[in-house]
Amino acid sequence: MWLLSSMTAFSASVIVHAAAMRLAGCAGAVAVFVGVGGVIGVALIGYCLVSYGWTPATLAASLTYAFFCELYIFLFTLVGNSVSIGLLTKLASQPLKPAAIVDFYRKEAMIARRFEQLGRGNLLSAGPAGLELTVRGARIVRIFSLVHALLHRPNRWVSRMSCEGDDAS
Amino acid sequence: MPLLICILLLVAHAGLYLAILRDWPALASERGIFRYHFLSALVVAVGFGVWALAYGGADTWAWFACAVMLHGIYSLSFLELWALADDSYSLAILEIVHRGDRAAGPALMRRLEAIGASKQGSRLDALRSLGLVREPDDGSFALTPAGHAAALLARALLVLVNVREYG
Repeated sequence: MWLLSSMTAFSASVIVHAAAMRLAGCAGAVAVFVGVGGVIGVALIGYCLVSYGWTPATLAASLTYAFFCELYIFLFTLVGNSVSIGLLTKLASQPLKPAAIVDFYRKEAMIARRFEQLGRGNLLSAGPAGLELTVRGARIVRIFSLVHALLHRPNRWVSRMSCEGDDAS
Repeated sequence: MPLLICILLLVAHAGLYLAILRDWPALASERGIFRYHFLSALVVAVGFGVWALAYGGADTWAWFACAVMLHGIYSLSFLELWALADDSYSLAILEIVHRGDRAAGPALMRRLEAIGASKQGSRLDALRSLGLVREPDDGSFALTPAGHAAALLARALLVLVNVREYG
């Protein structure tokens, strides 16, 4: 029964999120889902506490709901930002030659979209001296420099650029 | 108690990776790190599943679900962080701008375009190795049936979330 409550709450989150995204204009999909999912999650926990009390069933319902919410956020951010998914959807309409893929999927547009996203997320801004990180952007870079150190994984594209730059010089 | 055991297992799993395994070549790829987490999830699911089967009861199965979901949340978070640190184009742009020395106009754009092209090439190779894209004899690229199914699911998700620009 707790599984049914959990799945009902998750389905409600997906439906309300879909409606909210059509009403919210340019708001970020993740932020909207966190807001919607958070409110419905609190309601689910309240309902489970009233129905089952402080039992493993309440904890299981909450964790199941949290897992599916995280999976959903992962999937729609993957689909919205992934180069692989972009290629798949382009190839779904017709087979393409390598040159057509390059034409269809212009690098300039790819970069422009990333800049737009980073600007909308208040991470990057265009200053008088060129592109600059905002305070938030600098914080993200600092956090990820710690993650890089912790995982021993530098960003492969930055590393490659550094190598190419060193080679060129 | 069952949840505490699961949390200890997850701490040990993360600790083992951070202390010893993070430099292992076998875990240096997306596939390798995914297998590391999948194997652990399998051990937790089978272990707690056998325990739940042996003892039975609604509470035992609820603990089983708690353990599996907790592992799912941990693995998904870890793998997302790992993939972002390793391969994110947006983070690469932020880090390059942060360095400052190369963040000047056309030169920066050329370098970022080169990254975009490399990423596109590497992703096409990855899609082929996953069996989602095939190369017919005419030198073009086309989707396999699994690729069509994945594209259909992706489109459904994009419509649901109301995303019009992607990739």
